Amino acid sequence: MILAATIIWLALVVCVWLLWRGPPARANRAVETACHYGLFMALRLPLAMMGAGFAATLLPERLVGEFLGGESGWSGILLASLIGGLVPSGPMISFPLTLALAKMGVGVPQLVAFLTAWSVLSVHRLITWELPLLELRFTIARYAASLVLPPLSGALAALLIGSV
Amino acid sequence: MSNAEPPPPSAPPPRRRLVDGSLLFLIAFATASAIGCYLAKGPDAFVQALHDEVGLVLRVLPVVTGAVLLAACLQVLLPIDAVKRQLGQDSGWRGLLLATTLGLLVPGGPMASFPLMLAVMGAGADVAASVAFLTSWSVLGLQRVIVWEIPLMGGDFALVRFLASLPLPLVTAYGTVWLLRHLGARKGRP
Repeated sequence: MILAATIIWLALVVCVWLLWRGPPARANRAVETACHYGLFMALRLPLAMMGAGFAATLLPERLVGEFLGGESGWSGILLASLIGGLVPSGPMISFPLTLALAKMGVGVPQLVAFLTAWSVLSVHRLITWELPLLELRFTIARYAASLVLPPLSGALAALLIGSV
Repeated sequence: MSNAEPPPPSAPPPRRRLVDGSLLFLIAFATASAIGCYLAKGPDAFVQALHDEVGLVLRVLPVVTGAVLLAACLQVLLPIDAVKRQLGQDSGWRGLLLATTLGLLVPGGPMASFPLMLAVMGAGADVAASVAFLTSWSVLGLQRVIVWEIPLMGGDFALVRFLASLPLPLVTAYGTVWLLRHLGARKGRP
């Protein structure tokens, strides 16, 4: 966490320096955007983290650990992929929820599969955005081709952390 | 009353309203789970959970503050328009890589990215590039990584997930093209 904070703040310093030297209109736009984001997140992040934290106390911890834990392997990855596709929300719920799952002992490959499924297979986004805006055949083909992504990313994550 | 000014020529993309359905949903979600925790687990567990959550919010606060400021700077600094202009003219490998890069850079939720995708497709990007863009925006989007993932999950987790997700836009792009061909597609464009 300290490393992440250091990298983020260093990158921020570089960006601010670039904006400082660039055109003032661009810097103004950045300040405006930052205020908007800040307010947007200040309203949502504490609520999301509280909600996820309380919700986590209600989940059956032993069952979650058993079916999705680091030892659960492929079956855990597949189950996490299925659940991820059903989570009907934006990042403000899914990331705190992922954190709650991590605290309950869900393994990294399973968490990665869960997040991938949430981002590419979300039924909620399919209905709200893709079906109304894009051609049906294209949407079906994209969705079908994306079915392999959550298990694939989970397996790659397992390879990366060396827990195959 | 202030004078109504016309929007500047380079108006920023539409923003999410501060109070919208998602905020109301979050309030309902937090309230319901807090009540559920109190009723099902008792006052002690409730206080313990509350204590943990407040501690967590305070711990991630410095990271989130930096992340939000960084995301705002990047949104202004990154050459999204330049990549978008290139994309219409290129297909094949270069188009796929450009589409993946664009998806990675584009900030915001589906509200911003779907109209952009329609614009990119209108500019002549093919099916593979469109799918690569959509998938890249979904799994690699930097804004989400910076604002949500690193503060909450930590840099190590974010790095592993990012690396594990790097090949996904290409996999879906080729998968979709293959499926459309075998579903008997006559037109190559969505």
